[in-house]
Amino acid sequence: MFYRTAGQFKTSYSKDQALFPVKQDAFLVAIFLLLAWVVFPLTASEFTFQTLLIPILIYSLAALGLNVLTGYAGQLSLGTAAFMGVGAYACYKMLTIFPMLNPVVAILLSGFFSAAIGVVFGIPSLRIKGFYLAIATLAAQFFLVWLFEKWAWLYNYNASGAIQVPNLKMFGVYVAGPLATSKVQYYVVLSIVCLLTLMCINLTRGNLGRMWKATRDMDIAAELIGIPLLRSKLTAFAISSYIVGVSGALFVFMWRGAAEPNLFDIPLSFRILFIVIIGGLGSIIGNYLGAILIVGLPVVLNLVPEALGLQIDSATVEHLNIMIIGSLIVFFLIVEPHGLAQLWRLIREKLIIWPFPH
Amino acid sequence: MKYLNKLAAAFAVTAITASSVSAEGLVVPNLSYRTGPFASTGIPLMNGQKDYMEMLNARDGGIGGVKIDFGECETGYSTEKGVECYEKTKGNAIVTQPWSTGITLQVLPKTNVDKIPMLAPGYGFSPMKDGKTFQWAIPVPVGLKEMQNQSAQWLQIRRERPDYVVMWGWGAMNAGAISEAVKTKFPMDKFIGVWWSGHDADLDVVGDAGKGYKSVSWSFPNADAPVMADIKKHVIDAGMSDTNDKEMNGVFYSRGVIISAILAEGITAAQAEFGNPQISAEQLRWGLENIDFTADRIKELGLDGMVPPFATACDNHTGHSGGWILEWDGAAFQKKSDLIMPNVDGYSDLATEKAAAYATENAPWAVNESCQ
Repeated sequence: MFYRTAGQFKTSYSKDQALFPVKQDAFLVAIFLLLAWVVFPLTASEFTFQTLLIPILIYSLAALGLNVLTGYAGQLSLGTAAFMGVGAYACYKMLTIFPMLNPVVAILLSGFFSAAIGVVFGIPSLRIKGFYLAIATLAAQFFLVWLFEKWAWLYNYNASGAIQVPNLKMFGVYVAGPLATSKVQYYVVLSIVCLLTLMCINLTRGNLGRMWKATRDMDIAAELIGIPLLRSKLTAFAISSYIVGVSGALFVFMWRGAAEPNLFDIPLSFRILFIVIIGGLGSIIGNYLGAILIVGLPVVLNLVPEALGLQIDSATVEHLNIMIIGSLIVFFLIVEPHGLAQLWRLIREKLIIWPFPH
Repeated sequence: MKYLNKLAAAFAVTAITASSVSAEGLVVPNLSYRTGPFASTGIPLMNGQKDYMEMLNARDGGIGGVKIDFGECETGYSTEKGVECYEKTKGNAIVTQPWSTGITLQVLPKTNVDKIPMLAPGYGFSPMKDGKTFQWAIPVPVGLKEMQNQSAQWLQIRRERPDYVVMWGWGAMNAGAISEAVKTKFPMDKFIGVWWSGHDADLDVVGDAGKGYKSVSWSFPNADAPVMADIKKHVIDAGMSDTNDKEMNGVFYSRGVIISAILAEGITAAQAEFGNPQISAEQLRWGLENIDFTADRIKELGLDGMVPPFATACDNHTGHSGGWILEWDGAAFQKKSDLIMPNVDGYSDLATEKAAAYATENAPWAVNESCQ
């Protein structure tokens, strides 16, 4: 009734190939964009910006990058955090060497460094697959984090061994560093996330995306029908690492404000992999849903006892939180092993034929 | 739509909690870590801090007649949670205690904007001593020598079998390292830990085998100190504490007590200076910059033998109290040396220089101009 697609005729090719051929989809997306661009920034508090809005967007972007590689091209990677680190350190070096550089440009450029490193570590994927490839990317994870710690040039020989985000201005407004307001940072993050999401939607439904999917589903068959595996796998590594690198630069410059090498250690890689798996492999919306569940929900749960006026120790709340999130993950994976995106897909299918199922 | 609802709920909840913060008492939040990999040291520290403040509330009705609202926000030593907690607690807070080097590094630039003093006893990074540049960071009262970031290098050092091993370990790492050293029959009297590495529970595991293990410390557990008796009477016997007898006599619990005592002393100093019991964050900074822990004052507070005398100033936020060498005798830590003063000459210029570099990198950075 609300989601009826009957009667929406496509009379031209361009209409048929539109981003959202179903009106209701476009309407929903418009609502979410309106919320993200207008409603949230007007109503959110500093706390909401710093613990919900900005991190969820950044984690979604990192998950999107990994999803291109794992979900669309079928190459399992455990090195996501290290590639984020490459982006962050590249951005830091660029901005300290060329202080006049526009921060947003620097963030977008830093992705190219991690793309290059990603391609290098992607080369083994031409010979090895599955778990073995995961181990090869794990090597990238350990090597790069070690490099961040040992190569003092990367952090400008700081005594603390950490990188610290300087105050950066763009068009007369602080966009990074302690003087930047959360709202400005949120808009920077949101613009970049929207831009890259749009790029990914188009990439994955275009020629390249079909190549990736063919490689994922059965690489021998893909090779037999004339898909160059070398190109398919390495472009997946490059584009995935680019997005992940940009998210890493945002992670440090638009949110954390400082980073130690061990920030980019394996727990972060796993966290992003969890977002991708729970959100849904091979989907765009899944990254957002996964990030909301893994990053946003714990923050909200932490506030619940206090809001209800219950006197519970902070540590106990934390323990409860871990248990609740853990069981929710198990619950969602049992209910829908293909992730939250699939859950939404099923709901949508049901809505389309509701109230008269076959 | 389901997720939309969830998100809407999130905002509703945020709004409620934001408004529920009241202005009663002195809000002294603590970013605790009772969970996570470092919980073994966190729990006694947090208990010590909380119990001292509870004791002041019960015995004296707070400080200067104002109750202390000592709230904890659990971080699990995770930087991400730390920032979440900082944002959550900073509302009416007059101080913030980040409790991890990672969180400190993130919160440090923010405190300079939000103007909240950050009490970071014994962690963070060395240049923070420069109170002129880092006017909001107060890393009392450690000698600077011990304030380096932990590193994984001790692993390599151990392989080389040197005369002495100096350990910069922290949390779960220590217990492992100490048991490992006992297993490989490393002579314990050649094993020295820095202040984070002297945790009773870590040594308890090995018991007698750990005899001779030394740790540098700027605090000492004195079970006979009057303050401990007061805590026992007013807090523990009243059932308001999570601690137990064994933990209470440990190094970390007493350190928690001392940290709270330092904070309370800062509050007292500020109240006396500004003649107003309900002090602001900025006034507390003045207080923490003007702590004078003389031997007499330490006695008056009932902290006999638990902390060496020290005094802070606006350009010297650490106070350089020096420290003792504690040695494990198989059951407890014993004081083994006189007060050792850190050799500041070597790096004090270096610290000032690094502090200046930090300020330039983060320009515009508000420096305390009034401090000479």
